[in-house]
Amino acid sequence: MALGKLGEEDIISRLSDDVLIHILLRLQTKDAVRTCVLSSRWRNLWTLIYNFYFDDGEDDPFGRDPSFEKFVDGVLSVCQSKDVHNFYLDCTMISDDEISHVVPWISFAVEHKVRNLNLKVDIDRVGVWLVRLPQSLLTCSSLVELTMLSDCIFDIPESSVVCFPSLKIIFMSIRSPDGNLMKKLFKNCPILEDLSIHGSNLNNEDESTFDINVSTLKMFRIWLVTIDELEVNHAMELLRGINCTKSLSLTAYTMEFISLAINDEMPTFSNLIHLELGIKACFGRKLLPRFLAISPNLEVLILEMVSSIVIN
Amino acid sequence: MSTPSVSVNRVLKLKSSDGEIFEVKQTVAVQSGVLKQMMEDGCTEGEIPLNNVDSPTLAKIIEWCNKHHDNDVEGRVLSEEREKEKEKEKAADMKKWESEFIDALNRDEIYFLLTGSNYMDIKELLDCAAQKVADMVKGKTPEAIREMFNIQSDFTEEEEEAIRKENQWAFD
Repeated sequence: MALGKLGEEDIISRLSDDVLIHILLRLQTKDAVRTCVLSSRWRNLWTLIYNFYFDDGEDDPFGRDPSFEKFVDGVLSVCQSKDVHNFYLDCTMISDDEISHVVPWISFAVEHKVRNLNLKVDIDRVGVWLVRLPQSLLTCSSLVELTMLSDCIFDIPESSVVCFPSLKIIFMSIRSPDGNLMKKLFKNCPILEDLSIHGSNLNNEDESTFDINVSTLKMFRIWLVTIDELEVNHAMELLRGINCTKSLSLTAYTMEFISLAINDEMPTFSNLIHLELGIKACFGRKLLPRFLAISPNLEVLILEMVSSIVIN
Repeated sequence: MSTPSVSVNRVLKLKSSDGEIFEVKQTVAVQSGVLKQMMEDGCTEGEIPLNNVDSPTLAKIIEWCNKHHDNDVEGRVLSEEREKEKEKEKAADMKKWESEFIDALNRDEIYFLLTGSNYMDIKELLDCAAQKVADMVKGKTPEAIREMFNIQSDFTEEEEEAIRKENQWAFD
């Protein structure tokens, strides 16, 4: 059979269920559900999807989807898959009633053995909003990748048991990374390999002190925005804490910070092979020789030159 | 037997649905879950009939597998710590090659590739082709999707209305 001669036929509907589900899995869940009206072939196919991407369209030019909670509840009540691979939730919660939906959705994902959980929950109000993570999530044995991008505060009750036996990747970007939450989260991750923490609004020393002691860690990224110059001590402490790393990358902003502590003793990075530094002219010249001196086994050096713009 | 007895020099003879024979190195063929299983079971002597894959599609599938095999082999040589940058570049090059490979296909070729890669159990190729179709579908109304793929609705107006109502939360 020659290719390209079937142009007028509906051959997509002749694909097997397996293949069509592979296609539906890659769509926003709303797009996947809407295929139910295409024809009877498509009527119930979407109920077999095991990846869920829920987005309330807050960033959409048409505005937030007003029936978002109904939509998510509707999908989860009809879906037939026993296992969930990816569960993405991207929403801006406006009322307490809406916030109360989030925990059952997370519980659904956990009950369905979610592997990759991605929570982006923003609160459209001023103030502090606690979302108490369900106990079932805190001991979720199927979870491999956890992403939390939120401006609400995830809370773990004091008495909770926390254990993520399969968790390999954590990405957190939260307004005020709370030392207590971090400590509890990372306490029991026996195979964690990749940890990223983004945070701003560090309020006081207690809240911004994390104790991360994970021997399996291969990649650690941290971005903390602070305006307090005293934090430079923490930056040096962090460098001392990771001085066995093979690869290190520091942004120009971090370098600027470290330059404030130019006279402090710097740790020796005896395993360091790969070093990437962001360099602003005035700070870099002083710091570069110091970094070279503390990296006896360096093989690769990458410099990103950042120009400082002077406005008169 | 748990590990396949794969030899670099040995080739498999694959027979397409229209009777054409393709020779593929065993080390390339392991990308297909089905062929890998056959090698493990030791039943790859003679011609292997692939009744669901025609010759133009099989040629495309083999082109894909050869490209990924070559990349893997090079990748292994370069896997030292200091070569990580090069690996990243290679991964980006492969992504570019994959998207050019898929974009060059017409709609029907993609459908045959989906069926063929699913039948032969070549996960990466199936993922790539499924993503291409998903990109065509995303954000479109059911009417636009029907038109794009020549899907004939077999619902009456009333039936369609009822289905929309039943799943109203998806159409609001």
